[in-house]
Amino acid sequence: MTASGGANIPAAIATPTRRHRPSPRLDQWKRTWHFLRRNGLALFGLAVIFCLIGVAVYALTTPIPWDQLTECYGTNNQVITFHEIGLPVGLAWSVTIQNTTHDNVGTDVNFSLASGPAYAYTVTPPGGFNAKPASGQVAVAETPQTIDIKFSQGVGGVPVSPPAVSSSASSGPLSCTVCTYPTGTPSPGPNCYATPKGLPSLINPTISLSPLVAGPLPFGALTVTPENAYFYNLFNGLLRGSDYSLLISVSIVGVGAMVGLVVGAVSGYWGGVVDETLMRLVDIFLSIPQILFVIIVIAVVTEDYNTVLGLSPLATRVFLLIIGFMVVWWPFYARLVRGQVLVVREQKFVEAARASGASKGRIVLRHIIPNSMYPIFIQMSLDVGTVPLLTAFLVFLGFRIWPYVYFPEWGTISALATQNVLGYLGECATGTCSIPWWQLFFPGLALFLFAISVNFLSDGLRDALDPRLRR
Amino acid sequence: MATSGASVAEYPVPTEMPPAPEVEGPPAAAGASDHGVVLDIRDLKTYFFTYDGVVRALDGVSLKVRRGETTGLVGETGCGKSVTAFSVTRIIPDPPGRVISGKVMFGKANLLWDLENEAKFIPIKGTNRVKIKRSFRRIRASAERLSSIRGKSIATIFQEPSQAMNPIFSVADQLGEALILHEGTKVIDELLAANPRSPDVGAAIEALVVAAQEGDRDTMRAKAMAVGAAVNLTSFGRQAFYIARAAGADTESIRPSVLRAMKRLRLSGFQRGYLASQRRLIAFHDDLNQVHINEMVEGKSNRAGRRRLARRTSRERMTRFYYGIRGVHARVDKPLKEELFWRVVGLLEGVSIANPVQVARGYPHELSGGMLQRVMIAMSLSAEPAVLLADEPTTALDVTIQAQILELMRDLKTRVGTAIMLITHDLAVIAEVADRVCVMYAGVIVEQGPVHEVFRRPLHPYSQGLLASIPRVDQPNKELSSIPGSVPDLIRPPPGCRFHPRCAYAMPVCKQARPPMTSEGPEHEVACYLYKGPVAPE
Repeated sequence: MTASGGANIPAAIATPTRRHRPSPRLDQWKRTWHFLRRNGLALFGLAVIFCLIGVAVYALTTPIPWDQLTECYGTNNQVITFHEIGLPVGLAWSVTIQNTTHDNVGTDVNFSLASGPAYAYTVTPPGGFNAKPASGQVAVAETPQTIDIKFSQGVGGVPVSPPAVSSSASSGPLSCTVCTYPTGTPSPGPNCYATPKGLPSLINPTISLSPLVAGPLPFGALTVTPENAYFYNLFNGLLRGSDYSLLISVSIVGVGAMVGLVVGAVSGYWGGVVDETLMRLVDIFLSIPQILFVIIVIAVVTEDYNTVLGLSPLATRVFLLIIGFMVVWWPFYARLVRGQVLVVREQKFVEAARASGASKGRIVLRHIIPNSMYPIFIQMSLDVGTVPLLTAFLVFLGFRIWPYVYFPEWGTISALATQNVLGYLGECATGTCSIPWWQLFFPGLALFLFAISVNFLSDGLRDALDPRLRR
Repeated sequence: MATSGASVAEYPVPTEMPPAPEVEGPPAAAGASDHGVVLDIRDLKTYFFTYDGVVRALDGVSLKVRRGETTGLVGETGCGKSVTAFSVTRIIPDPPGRVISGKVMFGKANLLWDLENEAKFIPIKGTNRVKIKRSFRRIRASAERLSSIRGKSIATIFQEPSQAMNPIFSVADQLGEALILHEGTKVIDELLAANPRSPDVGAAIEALVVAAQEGDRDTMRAKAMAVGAAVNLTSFGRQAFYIARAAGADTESIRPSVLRAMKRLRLSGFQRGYLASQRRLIAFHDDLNQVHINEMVEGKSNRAGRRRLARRTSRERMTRFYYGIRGVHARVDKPLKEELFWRVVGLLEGVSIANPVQVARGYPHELSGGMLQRVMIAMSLSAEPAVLLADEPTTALDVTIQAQILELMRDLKTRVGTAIMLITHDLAVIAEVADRVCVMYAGVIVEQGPVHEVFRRPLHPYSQGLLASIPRVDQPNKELSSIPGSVPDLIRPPPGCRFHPRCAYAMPVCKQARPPMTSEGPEHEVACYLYKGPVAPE
């Protein structure tokens, strides 16, 4: 390699060494990575997404360490009535539940029990009488219950009919009072709604959970209106919620885009009757109000089935949420893709492919779809950030995915936080207060980071994959 | 075409003609002999059904394309030149366009067989409109039949090479796709037959290193090809040559590089299974194509045969899919991809591209127009088609590139024996490369004949006008003549001869009936009332 005669030109540039690699360099992924590596923003997005995926995997694989930090007392204790049948007036009988015995003379026996577990009970009849059932279990639901106890005299007495459990649906709203106690100490009472314990090194468990305390740290729990009955430890909730948020966003947008891509490509390329049929179908689906549809799907299905496909009740509701959004999501993509396909299919290379004997399927797969992908990338990256906001919107409308269940999803958390902050705003109008801004800020930050990373990454990927934009 | 130096005519006329076997069959009407005809277009009519009315884009076009010959198609814009080419393989968008009637005989196969059953034209009463009732099953069947001809037997080159290639796949990808589509079985057979453990390889590589040290390009290529012969794979010889060339002065690196490159020929059992499955799939496709062609030859539908083969195809596709999924980690398709790459490099060498490796690796937007047109030609000729329809292949190129492309096409015509139908409005191009020329005007052919005949003695007033409107450098002060008026509206074309409103010699008879094609010399025909009428051929 000799220096060239030209001034100020480095020798290495001035005299090219003809040492190109004669290997084909066919590996698309290597090439994509080569171009992606130069894009700092895309790398940033990639790093954040990897971190989120790591957190989500952690959240998925580690069981929630429940700890009793807060309690709610109130009318969520349900009344269980034991109704006697066939006992002569004046005779006393009693019912025992968990070492507590209630006596009564002639009339019904009432218990007030915390809802949740199933309690074993024993009936003690008066002398000479048999009770049916003499013992059993009662699962305390969220409504008052009545259990009929039939008494018969002696052996071979009056035949009894099987016990009937009747319930009436007159439950008032839950009202909770917050009681705070440090971890490690025994719970002051049995009626507890628990929140999960945070990561030991990351949260300070002694932070007060009182809603009126405005601390400098974001790690304090978020307390919302008493109806919510759950207390989100903010940092923990955000960590825990990453799996739900990622799963919901990515699956809805991914499946929606996939279906939309196929429908749009078929519709745009085939044209004619197929196009008309599919596009009218798209119109029908577009006319469905999205949020309402999802609410109805969840409400209607869970009315009859608490679980589907062997999922847990919470997973069932998340599944229904995802399915509901998928159903209303793909038409936008179908429209977008169809418009793009209409442009691409008129281009010369499609005609050339046809003239060289390529079949329709090959043309669609090899020529039309790869050239129509780029707007989809952009739309997908925008939508991934939108989906958690829609779940937040569900909460704004008063629809919780499953009431009274700890469901740390970013959209849900931020909606609850917004309600809380708005409540403080009302207080601030009358006097001095401090607004717990962090309750809204950190879920928002999580959403923002997620959305912007996906945006950066997909933009970078698009640039790296499109040979026309590579430089 | 280097041998044409002996008879220097006013226009370069090819002296060597393809061997002319005596072909049985009906004698042609105008006395033109029928030898070597690969494409015989008879009375082709293509209409476009638009809102404004029916555009009669082709109204009875008849022409023959012979083996090893270039047939030029000239005329103004909108005369139906491109429509003629596109009607042959029927890549006209439908709707609005539709081939109405006619015959396109490709060998013994009638490409327009079953045309009359594909669509019925029902006139709407009280209007001059028609309703088209299509039979989609038949249209689909005929599209499938034609796709077995397209590309493989009749290739097409388009005007804008930069738009005729998919922008997001590399040149190697796209040419490789064409190769696997048309020559797949051959490629895979040769790849499977390669023997990287041949005892001769070592000596061949040593010879290559010695040749590289001497630095003689031609010896190097010969020795590299010997390496290819040793492993029984020509494309590997090509790869060895480019490895040796890239090594430059560092000849010691050739040996390990070539040995490393040879890894691609050591196929695992699984890779062989994948390739065999792929080959069966392509073979089924070839069988299916043969069934399609037989249908067109016999003029009889063979639906059962098509169905049976299609079922087998889809079953084999599942097998290949299984292999593909199971072998994702092993990159089962890699050997085939690399083989295709080096074959593509060979194709690009064939169209005289100096740096075929870089070009094959590149993307369409990275190449210049002339380069791309060569790539397109390489793609069209990858299957060695019988007919090449070149739709204005040089219009978008500058003059020097034009000359190179034309030279290339002429070379390929003699080497491969392809019949070329060259569409252009550039008469200089026609004079340069065409053997025969057809002058089109408003959807009909008005004059056809050998190029030197038509150029020396243009008979039709339109041909005369066209030739007169070429600017000439030897007559600088001559006013540039042009034909007054423009191509008529083909929805309501003029009655009789379509040229009569613009014709200086128009007679009353011209307005009444279309002039018939009359013979005016050896294979020289013209449709004009100025000439006396059918004369018997000598």
